[in-house]
Amino acid sequence: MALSPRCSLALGFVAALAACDDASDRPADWGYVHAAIVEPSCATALCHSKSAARAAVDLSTSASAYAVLVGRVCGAPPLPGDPIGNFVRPGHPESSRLMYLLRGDRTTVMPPDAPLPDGEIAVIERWILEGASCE
Amino acid sequence: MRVALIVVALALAAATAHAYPQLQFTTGATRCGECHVTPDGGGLLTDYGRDEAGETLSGRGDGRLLHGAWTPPDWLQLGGDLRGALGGKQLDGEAAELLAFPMQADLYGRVAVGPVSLNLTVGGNGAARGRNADAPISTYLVSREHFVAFHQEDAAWSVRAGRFYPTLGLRTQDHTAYVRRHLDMYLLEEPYALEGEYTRGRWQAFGSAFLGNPTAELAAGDRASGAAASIERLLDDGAVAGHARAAFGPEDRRYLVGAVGKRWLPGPKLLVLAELDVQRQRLATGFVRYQLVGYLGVTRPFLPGYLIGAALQRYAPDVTFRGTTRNALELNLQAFPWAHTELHLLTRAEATGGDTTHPNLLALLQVHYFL
Repeated sequence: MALSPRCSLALGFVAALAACDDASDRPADWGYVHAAIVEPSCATALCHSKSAARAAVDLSTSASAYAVLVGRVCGAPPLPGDPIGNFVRPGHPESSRLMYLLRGDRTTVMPPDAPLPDGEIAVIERWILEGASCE
Repeated sequence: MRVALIVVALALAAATAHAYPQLQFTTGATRCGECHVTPDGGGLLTDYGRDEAGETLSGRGDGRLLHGAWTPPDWLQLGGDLRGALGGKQLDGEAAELLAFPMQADLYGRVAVGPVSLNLTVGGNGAARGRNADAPISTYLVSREHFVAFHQEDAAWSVRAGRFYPTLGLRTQDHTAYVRRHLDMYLLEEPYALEGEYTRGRWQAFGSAFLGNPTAELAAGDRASGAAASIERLLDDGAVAGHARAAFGPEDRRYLVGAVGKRWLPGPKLLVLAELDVQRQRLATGFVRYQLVGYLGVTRPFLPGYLIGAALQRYAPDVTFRGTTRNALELNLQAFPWAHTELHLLTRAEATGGDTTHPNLLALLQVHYFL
């Protein structure tokens, strides 16, 4: 049953007082990972926006972010070997550089001014574990 | 150390020109447009605003352009903001780090012919950090605001078109405040907009339609298009306001409603500022989530030219997703010792994911000079 916008809004208020979902309740797909986590947290004006593209990393659009993180254009066949930059190794979060950056594990944590909460990192980890598809 | 300095500078550099809502009511002004050229506040000061900056706020000095050394012709107004910062931060689990960087270097110009004016802001962009080797000129200089405005003297309404933030919410000068950072008013997120403003008695209303900046190299954020409206009513010692916005981006649709309250308590000399926003975000994939942004602050003026304040902030990017909320407690000390100058000590503890026992800490002393 679909809730009306008014009821949904009221539920949102209530839920704000007692959030109950965890990372497993969020979709581990690229559409969610980019729009809900990567773009608002990382593609800021002087970091990984198109204009700044620090370290040649442009995370501003779904396509550019996927290409730079996974090392291939969405829909293109996987390249042999590790992706450029090794930010994401599909199926292998334990050896994906992105996970080390997000956790600040032996490197500068990203984003450096406001690290991601564990729940959002867990969604990204699951996306990588499940193959890092762009679908 | 160097990396830390750079990245925090990135987050803080090139602050945009917004108003100081903590000066509304505490200095006797009731509307932003009394001290600022634009009715939403920020940027260039009116002649009255410059007088207030010198006499009422600081108590000493000349608030006019170049301290009164040169008076531009009536059709021209000039100004500028220069800010630098010194401080430190400590993220949870990491060593404390020192920070020192330029924050803002903006010049403002306004040319008026009768009721029509051309307004332009030009500034440096992220100067504290080394750029990519092939960085274009657009990464060095940026114009955050440029618009044409129409306002007849004594008219109750005005219109403007160009690049600026549609009027919404508290409009604090601190772009890292959650009510800006997480509501599309961070850095370089100004859209192109057409906005009308109408003031009558105690009421003031703004309505705007906006388009995301078509040039990705000159902007940030998701560059959504949509419409926004806000309305404020003055009370005897404060104001209440409500606002709404619909924004349609390439990856989502967002619907925002919010409220603002401002209350000046003349007895204890306290100004209370509050904002609460709820946003429904529907991703292109069909997933729907609700977001909440809140701000509650209190400011007290003491001695001529000094303000002390505290604020609580809350941002829930997904209200039903446990452990993703950010909470911040900040303390502010602002001093305006002479006209044109400001010292602002900002200290903030931010807890991510609800763990308030291990906050990220930030302390910054900002030095601000306006032309």
